Amino acid sequence: MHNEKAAVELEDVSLIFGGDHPADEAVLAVHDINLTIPTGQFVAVVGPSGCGKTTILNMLAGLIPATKGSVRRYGSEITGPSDDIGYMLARSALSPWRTARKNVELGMEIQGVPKNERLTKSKELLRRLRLEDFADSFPSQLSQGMNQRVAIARTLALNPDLWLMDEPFGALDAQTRLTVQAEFIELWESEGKTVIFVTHDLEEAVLLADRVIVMTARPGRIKSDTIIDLPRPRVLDELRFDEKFKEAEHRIWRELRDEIV
Amino acid sequence: MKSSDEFPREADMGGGEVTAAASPISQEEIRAMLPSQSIWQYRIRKIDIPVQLGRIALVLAIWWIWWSETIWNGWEAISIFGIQPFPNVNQVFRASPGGAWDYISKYLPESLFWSDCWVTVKEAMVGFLIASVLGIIAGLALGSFHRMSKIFGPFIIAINAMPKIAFLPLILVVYGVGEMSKVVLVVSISFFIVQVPTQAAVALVNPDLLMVSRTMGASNIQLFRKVTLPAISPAIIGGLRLAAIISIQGAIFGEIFASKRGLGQRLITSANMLDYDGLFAMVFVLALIALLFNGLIGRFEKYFLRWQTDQQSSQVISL
Ligand SMILES: Nc1ncnc2c1ncn2[C@@H]1O[C@H](COP(=O)(O)OP(=O)(O)OP(=O)(O)O)[C@@H](O)[C@H]1O
Ligand SMILES: [Mg+2]
Repeated sequence: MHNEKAAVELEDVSLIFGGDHPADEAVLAVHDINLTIPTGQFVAVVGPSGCGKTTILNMLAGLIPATKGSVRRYGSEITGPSDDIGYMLARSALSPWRTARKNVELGMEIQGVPKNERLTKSKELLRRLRLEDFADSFPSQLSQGMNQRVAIARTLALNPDLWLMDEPFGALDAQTRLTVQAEFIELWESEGKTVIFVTHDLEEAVLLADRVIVMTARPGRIKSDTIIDLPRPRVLDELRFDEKFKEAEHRIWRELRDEIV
Repeated sequence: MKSSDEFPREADMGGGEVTAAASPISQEEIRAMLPSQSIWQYRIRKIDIPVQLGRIALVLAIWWIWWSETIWNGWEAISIFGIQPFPNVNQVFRASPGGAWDYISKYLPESLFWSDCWVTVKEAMVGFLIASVLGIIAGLALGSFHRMSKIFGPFIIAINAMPKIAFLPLILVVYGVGEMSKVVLVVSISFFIVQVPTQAAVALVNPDLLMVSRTMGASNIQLFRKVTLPAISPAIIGGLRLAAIISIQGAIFGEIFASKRGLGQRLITSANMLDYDGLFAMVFVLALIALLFNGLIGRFEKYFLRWQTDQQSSQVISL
């Protein structure tokens, strides 16, 4: 039954912030969003700052309820957080008092996974993200890129079925970003889970995703929805110079430009 | 090297051949690059000789200035709006290092002196422990539950603003001149020193950390244990550090006011007998006890906050 329905479905979703007090200004953050995402699709969302991208992820993560409309996963309404959704915030938000390994194990601790199982899983993830030598370092002892990779590992530790990622590489320098992007896409291509990936970087969106959604300025609505028909597995540092890739990026850029300027 | 034929250039311009590729280097090789040092060289560096010399020099300088005749001469002439900031102090009232030492070495072997020390330390410690437990619990509860802080908040602020010393006569009536009255005084002062920063820190926990745990399905109790408690531990320990010192002061103050035993009792006795050597000897002993308390909490802090960067934890003053 699950496979028949969409992994994620937003129907006429609007969200209003504030307005408790009659004299308060109520902010319409997102307006009438309709979006259906099939299982296993990698969807990138781009749009101007403040258009409601993070707000949409928060609704999908079950942290805030939609003011209007319906947010569903496999046909059932989202009512609260669920451990089969992995949410990676824009800031790495690692616990400074936990080592890299203990940060990765946070979700498993919360879910009561036994110790040796936690250890096996965290070791495997840290190895895949090339951090095995830093398992016992605290976040203050790691570089920004390393911390970001720890956050990726933490997000994936509970084997979530839906990955929500809010500008996961936004804080990285250009060089590190290339490495982490490549590591991430390799990881994803081996798992094939549904991903909603918010980014400010259009090149990143087109390089990684199957589908790019462009949002309008606030109140956020869907402006365009484009399928990126590039083959997988993707070799990012070659794809970057591919004609088809450039053409797709250019086409979407024209949509986005009107919203930004 | 072909490129250098095509683009002739100065030798020191850089560029050209690749000289290194990323490759793993073993711990031994990395160690070998560091200047070699024995464990003793390491320990001496940790002791930080300039710091120790600076401390000794500071003590000597203060004592010398205190005891010097010439330095103080003439300062009494300074008068600001009729107030003399540096009045002439009779030599008799200035304890000499020798005199203070004589006092200490005379009383050090006496068991009565040690039992006085113990009385004061016990009052301070018991008061401190009770104040810490109550202060942390109250701070957590008030920080976590909005309604509770709204109900109790105004009363706590009002009680905190009252001078606790004003309650001392009442405390003495209720608990007597024994040790219990000092413990109660210490609790009434130190409680707030722990409660206030604890409560404030709960409100300042990084919301992202709470959010991450919540998306992973954490219950409220798990959020508290895995996020709030560790996040506020630096604030709690800071409060404890301050409360420990204030607790000693509270105990001494209570003893000076009315007591049978304790260092405060000794202090006021010396003062009443114009025994200034004894007075300063007591102050010196109290300073040592305060440093001891501080050192103990420093140990605790180093262990619990080892995740902090050196920069953050350099506030810990260790001996
Ligand atoms: N807690 C809140 N209370 C009130 N308004 C909010 C709140 N969170 C977000 N908003 C408003 O909702 C709008 C959308 O915010 P959101 O964080 O979703 O934007 P975004 O698209 O993620 O932006 P950015 O790209 O800068 O991260 C913003 O205009 C903001 O002012
Ligand atoms: Mg955002």
